[in-house]
Amino acid sequence: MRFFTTIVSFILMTNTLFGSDTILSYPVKSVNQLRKATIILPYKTEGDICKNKLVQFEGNLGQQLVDHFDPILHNNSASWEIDNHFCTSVTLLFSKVLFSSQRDLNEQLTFLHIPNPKEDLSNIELAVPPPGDCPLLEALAKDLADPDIGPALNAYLDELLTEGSVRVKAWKKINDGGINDFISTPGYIKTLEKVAKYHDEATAGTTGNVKYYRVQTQHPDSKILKVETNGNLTFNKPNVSLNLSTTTREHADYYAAQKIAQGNTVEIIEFEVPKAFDIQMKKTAVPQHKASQNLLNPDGTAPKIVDPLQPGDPFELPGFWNQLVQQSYIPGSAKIVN
Amino acid sequence: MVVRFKDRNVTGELIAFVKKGISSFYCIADVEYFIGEYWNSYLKSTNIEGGYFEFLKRFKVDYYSLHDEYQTIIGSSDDFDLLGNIPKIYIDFDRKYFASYFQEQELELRVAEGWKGEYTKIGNLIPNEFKYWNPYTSEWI
Repeated sequence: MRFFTTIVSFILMTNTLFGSDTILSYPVKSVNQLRKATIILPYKTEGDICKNKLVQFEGNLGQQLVDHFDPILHNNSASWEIDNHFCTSVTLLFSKVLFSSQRDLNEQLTFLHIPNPKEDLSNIELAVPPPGDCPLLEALAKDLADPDIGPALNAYLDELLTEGSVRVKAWKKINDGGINDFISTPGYIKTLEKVAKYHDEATAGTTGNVKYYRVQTQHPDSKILKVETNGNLTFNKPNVSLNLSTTTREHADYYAAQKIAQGNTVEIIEFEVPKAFDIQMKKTAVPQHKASQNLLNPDGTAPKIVDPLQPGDPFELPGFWNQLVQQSYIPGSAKIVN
Repeated sequence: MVVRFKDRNVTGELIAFVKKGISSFYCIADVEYFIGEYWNSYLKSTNIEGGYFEFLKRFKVDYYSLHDEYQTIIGSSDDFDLLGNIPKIYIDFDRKYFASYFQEQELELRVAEGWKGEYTKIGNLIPNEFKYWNPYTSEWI
């Protein structure tokens, strides 16, 4: 089977791929371009070093990629050599991601054999890639093929490689929850962005404190927290769900303004928690949509990422986490800030 | 469903009064079940008005259970028990009207397409014969 195609003009060098914070040295305009991208790995490192770095690079997803990548790496019909570099195609690496229909598989999941990248591309030889089973990537392919969300998800994944693993991990976390139809709800992409942001926050360091905020109206059953004169908090109802705005005042200010516009009086309570607590809370959190069915929330105690389309970072913390806040907040740090 | 009002998670599980045609019932469910934007995802059909009314019946609680349980806390001085166990949600599937008096999230802004959402007290929207909290009264109902 022979096809004529063009190669998108960027090349991934291994030292760029693994050696710095930037995964790609050239901007990727869309995931579609990745299909046609060419990846070049050092020929002499062969599989093992690359494999280890892939594992390190992506954690569980890295293993999935390794499983997918290994047969390609060691299959002569699916690789080639250019100037002592082992070459294969991102089309192949991400084949399960980027193509879902059999027609696509037949017509586009073909390997680009390039004897010389400077050669006339009209002579490109194509070969069908080896079959493989990569459920995670197939799941991503399914999401990408969804007519409603696919384009937006494609845009989100534009920087799949340029921004590295964080965004893939965000998608993976949502996917691992098993709530397949979350993709078609408002706020899906925003939730992905938030999960990626929380991952960034976690990797930035675990020391120091993070400010949390709670907006309380004059309604008696809104008064879950009380600020004492010494800056301590009294938790009036540690068994109920506690809604908090985290990290910045952005959501608290927004929500307070909304409540005031509805005729309420409000107080914004600010207090601090150790960053390690904040990281753990966000790491455990799941989207609010079908939270009770989320596979990452087997005991129903996971914090919920709520109102993803509102500004800031609001969470609903079930009673279990309400009590953890009580045990973990910094005594003396609480004050009313509005 | 067995109802226990004392120390219930009143901000995580909401009491709603739902009606369609001449049928109405109370239900108690997690907050996310009252986000109209999500209702479609629980249904096989696109008929939200018929489908989600039926869906919510899985969380149905009968009036007498609510009434009897409320009488056990009516002498309490705990506002969380007294007011938290008053309905926070009212859903009229005929009028496509959703009312919320939930203080913690703006559910009234996240209604299903074509619906009207409103932040308002719920008590007066419910017929007197279904006010299981009687004779308790409060300005917050």
